[in-house]
Amino acid sequence: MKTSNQKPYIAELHDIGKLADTEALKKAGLEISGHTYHNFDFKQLGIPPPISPSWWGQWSDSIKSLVAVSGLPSGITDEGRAYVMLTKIADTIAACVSRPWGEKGEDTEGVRPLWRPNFYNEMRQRGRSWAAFSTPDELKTMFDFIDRCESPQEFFEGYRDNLLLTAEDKSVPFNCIPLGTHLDLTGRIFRVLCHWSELVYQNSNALLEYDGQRIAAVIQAAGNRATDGENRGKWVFRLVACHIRFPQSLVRLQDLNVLRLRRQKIEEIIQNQKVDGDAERQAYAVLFHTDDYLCLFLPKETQLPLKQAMAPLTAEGFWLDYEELEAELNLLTSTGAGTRQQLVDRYGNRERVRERRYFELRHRSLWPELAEEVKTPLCDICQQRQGELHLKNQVSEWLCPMCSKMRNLGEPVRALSEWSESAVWLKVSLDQVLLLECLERLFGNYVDNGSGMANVAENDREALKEAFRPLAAQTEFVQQYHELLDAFQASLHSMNSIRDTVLYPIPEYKELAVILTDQTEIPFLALDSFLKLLIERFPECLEDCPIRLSASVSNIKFPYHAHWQFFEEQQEAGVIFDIQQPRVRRTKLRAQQFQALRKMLKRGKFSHFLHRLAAVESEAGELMSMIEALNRRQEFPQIQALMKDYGLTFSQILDFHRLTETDKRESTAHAQ
Amino acid sequence: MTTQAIAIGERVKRGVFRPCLETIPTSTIIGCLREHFGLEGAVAIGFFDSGTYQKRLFTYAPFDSVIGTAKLPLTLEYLAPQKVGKEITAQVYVTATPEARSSFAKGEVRVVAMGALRSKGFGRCQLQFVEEVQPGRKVGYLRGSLRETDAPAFGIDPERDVVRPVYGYLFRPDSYHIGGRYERALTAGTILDGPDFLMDEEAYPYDR
Repeated sequence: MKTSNQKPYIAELHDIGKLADTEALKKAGLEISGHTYHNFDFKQLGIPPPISPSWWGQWSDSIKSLVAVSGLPSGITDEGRAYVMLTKIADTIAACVSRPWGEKGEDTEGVRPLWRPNFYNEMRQRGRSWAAFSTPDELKTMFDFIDRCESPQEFFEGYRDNLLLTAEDKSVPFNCIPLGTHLDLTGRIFRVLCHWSELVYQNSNALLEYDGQRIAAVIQAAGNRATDGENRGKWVFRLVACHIRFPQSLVRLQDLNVLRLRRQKIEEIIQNQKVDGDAERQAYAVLFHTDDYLCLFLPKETQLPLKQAMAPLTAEGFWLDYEELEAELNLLTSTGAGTRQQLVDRYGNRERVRERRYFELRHRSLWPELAEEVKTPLCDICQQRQGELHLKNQVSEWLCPMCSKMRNLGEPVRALSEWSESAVWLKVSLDQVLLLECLERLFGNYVDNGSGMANVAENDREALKEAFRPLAAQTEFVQQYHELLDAFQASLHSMNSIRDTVLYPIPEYKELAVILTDQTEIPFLALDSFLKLLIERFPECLEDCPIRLSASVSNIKFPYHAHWQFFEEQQEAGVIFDIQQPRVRRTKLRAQQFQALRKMLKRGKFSHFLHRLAAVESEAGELMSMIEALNRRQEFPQIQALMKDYGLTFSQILDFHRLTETDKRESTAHAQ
Repeated sequence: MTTQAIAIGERVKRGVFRPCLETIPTSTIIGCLREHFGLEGAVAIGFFDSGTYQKRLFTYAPFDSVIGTAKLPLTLEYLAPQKVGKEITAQVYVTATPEARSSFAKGEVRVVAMGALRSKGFGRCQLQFVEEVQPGRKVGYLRGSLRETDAPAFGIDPERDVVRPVYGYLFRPDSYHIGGRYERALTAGTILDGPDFLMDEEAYPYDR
């Protein structure tokens, strides 16, 4: 935020001190306490303190009220005090929505992501470290940076590695959140608070006003947490988790433009955060997003209707399925249902909660304008508006203006329409509901089994688990997911056998790829590569993995909407591969099952035996086929191992075997 | 209701694959009751019993009599009995209007037809009146599709009772039954406060 002296106030810098290695600096002879430097004796370095407004951020833990008169930085204005207090509020909300509260375990070095516990050690072995400032000279550069830094982006880009490797809190189990993620959330929330609040004076006392509510202290704005006390917070904001859906069934290749359009509109929503294009004033904040999901922080509905913020999407026919929590700042959590229950338990019933606190949890949908009646014919693609006749290559279609416009956005890839053989469609997806369940399990495991938790009592551990707020971990996971998609694309392009045949129909949409090939082994090379990357980046969440790769193998002429229907099917936790030859066979596999099948079916001739077992199973049941397999275990030990050790059925083994067989005829004969 | 094979198509066009629904929308069953029982005012909806059916595919080539050739073959998804020798069963709920009460006698079995490809034997159903019930109410996920204009007949006020709509469109024929219009409908996944037989699982009690 620009202050009156035109130097920026950068809220994110309030925690830059966490990047300093206090122990190393103490060994170098400096006297330091804590991670804030507002009490630091600058004579030790022989330099003056910074003079930029961002320096005031060091007081964010001290200035909890606008009326505080002592212990303030020299030269701070009322405006500056307001910024520092809003930083404190934003910091509190970012922590409240995004991480657990409770008893701490031991301090550790570096970050420990829940899904990749060894991440910091891996990075350390590559010579990277969490600390950015370990010597007195480096500490001087920190103060210099506070003075000259012009934007949050400069901070995040300049210290990217350190912000990723430093934990927001060094104590187990709180060390699972990178400092960078926490500060990113804090900064986004801060800019929204700044935009909607105004510095006003009452009897010459400075106050902050939002939505007609004036406050002088953090507690007045935020209130107490659900479990802490009963102070009602005056400031009400919203946290919205939003799934973006489209009604179109994808019929022609051009209909894939809906994916491009959706991405463009999400970008537009991200751009629209900035009021009049000014990055420092934000009407709302997109905390994180994927191609079909947005997580937003907004003011009250009466201040900024969601319909207005999401207009770019709804104007193009997309509809939104969202869960919205509108509450006092300290009641805003990313586990709304749990907090609602805590409040009901505390106050007795929902009505009493309403009398004492502001907390509204809603599940709603936001639709574009849809007429109550539509004259025939209905649009063939979206089925939500009246269609007009379109003729192309002697084929007539009824399309509404919106779907027609979408088709005219261009033809995604001409090579696809010119290909006439088999192709493999690959679709990667991330299920946010499964992700939240997975994070909760991982956090529970960490609390129970993490090193450094031995001294935390059993009941404190349970309290920690209950208090887990997944938003920051979710944000970081989504970031890692985007990196996985980039790495997968790079991996496909680096393989000689795939490089020239892999296409991304919408280049910027990295969840969907198609490999033009007749060879059945090639898609499995892609699947091998995907699993390798997944194990490398998310080793701890394979058993209930929220990421899935669906592969649909067919002739290129096979209808797109049938592939898409398959890709849109509900994900199952831990099923990493869902592979089909449409209407012929389909198999769902977990990581270990896939690896075992790849390893054991590589050698040997099983086809006739697998067919025999499948026939026995369908005619006489699983028990009889198991007996048959046992009878011939000497001859085919792999089959028994796959069944017994990896929980695979004969049908799964057979289907997988048929999918990998180099028999071109069958893979095309069934396709249409 | 029982049947041996039925295909109530999802309104997905322009594909050679026609998926089918696993519920009986109000538009389909109301049309059937009007055709077979002459019921003009009754509102109804139906749900196939899970475990009694499986999805199968039927491929056929429509014939273009004008140019005398077969068109591109279509693959139609339909419901077939789960087990050989058994039938698909469904529960059909009809609002108990005086007109409807007089049309159904307990135990009486009536043969009706609905859905696609009736000329090829699909959609022949036996409908039997079981009992008159007084449904309870709950907040849950709608498991079928009903036109908004049919909702009040089930005691649902779209303004008041619908928590999270999922919209689609269902056909409403005109009085001559040769044309009609599409009406906005609540489809599966809608969260609403309504009669319990319409709901799948109970939804979390969100605030309104």
